[in-house]
Amino acid sequence: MKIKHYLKIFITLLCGFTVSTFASADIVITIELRNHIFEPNIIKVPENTKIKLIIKNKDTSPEEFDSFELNREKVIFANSQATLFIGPLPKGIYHFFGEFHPNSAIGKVIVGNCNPNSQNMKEDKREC
Amino acid sequence: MLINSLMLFIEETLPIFILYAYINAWEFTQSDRSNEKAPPGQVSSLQLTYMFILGKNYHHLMYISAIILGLLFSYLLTSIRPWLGSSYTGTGYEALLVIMTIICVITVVFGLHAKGMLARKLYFSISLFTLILPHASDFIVFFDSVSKSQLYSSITIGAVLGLGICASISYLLFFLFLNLKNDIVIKLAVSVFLAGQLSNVVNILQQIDVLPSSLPLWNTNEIIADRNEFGQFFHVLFGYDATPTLAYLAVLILSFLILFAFLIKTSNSKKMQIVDSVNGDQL
Repeated sequence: MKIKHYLKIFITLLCGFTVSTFASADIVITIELRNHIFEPNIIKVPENTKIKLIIKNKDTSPEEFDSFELNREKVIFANSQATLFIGPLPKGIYHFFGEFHPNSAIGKVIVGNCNPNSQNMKEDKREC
Repeated sequence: MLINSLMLFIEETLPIFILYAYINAWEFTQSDRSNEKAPPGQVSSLQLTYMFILGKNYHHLMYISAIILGLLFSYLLTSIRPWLGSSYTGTGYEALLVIMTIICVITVVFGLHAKGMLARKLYFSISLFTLILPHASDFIVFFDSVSKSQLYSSITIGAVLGLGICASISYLLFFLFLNLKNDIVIKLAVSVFLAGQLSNVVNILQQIDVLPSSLPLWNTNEIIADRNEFGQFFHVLFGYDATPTLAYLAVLILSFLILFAFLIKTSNSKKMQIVDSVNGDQL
């Protein structure tokens, strides 16, 4: 009985944390991976903003988008795309790389204090 | 490529080796207590190595079978990952990861609490299986990606070196816990390890926007960076993160406290049951 009791508490707490917010991202950015190189490899975004990052892998082999600074890790299979969310972030430079080709697939997210135009905020490849 | 494959291999296999060490240490202390065999300090290193790999009377064959089964099923998982990755608006694989992490944590806790040897082994085998699946699949994807560039020798050497490092760490942890002769230390280590595994779920859920992300509470990348060897080792050992968010830290601390309290509480109730049964026999 005690196990069930503790398990209930544990699952309830866990469910509490996994409640979906379904909040949409403020900015959508698309980057492509060709010949193990990110295009663009520098992304400029405003601070304290959530960003939806769409990564399109145009190569014939899978790649893993990885960033220790952003705490993100996602495998993108050949000729497919993956979506992940980053931010809100404070000002700074956040490096990312392709874990399978770390010498060529490198890039960074530069978070600054720019003010994007609200009309264009959801456009792809948005830079500010 | 050698360094890259070595680091990737360590990153993917270290959690499995650490869990294996904890399970073995727990198994040994439990069976040692019930059978009243020689204490760990009096066992030769050769016997200890034998017990680490196969356990007493080949009891660990169940774990080794779970590991092999996990490796085989990871091939299956890898083959359906492109489909999983695109299902449920691109969140299918992350959802599976979260489920497998929770199953792994629950089965380890049940295994530590189980009274019968068979039940304990079954729970621990399931936990090993669920932990191996995603990690082995990640390495298969890596191998598939870089093998196209004909770097087999670098990858193989990196994997062999990584295997050696992980096995050494695992064996040292096993040896350390045996000599400490204290259940509480193992329970503390397991609770911290499992809390670390659970807190990873926060990053996964934030990545797919199920959990709202927030600004990191602090940045200790200049002291121990997430990307270096110590950062990775501490991340596996106790969920270290140089830039933790509030949700990450909350899950890490809360799950540790709950798991540790649960394990202590159950061991106390077990002792009470033993005392009661002894008193009953005397009467």
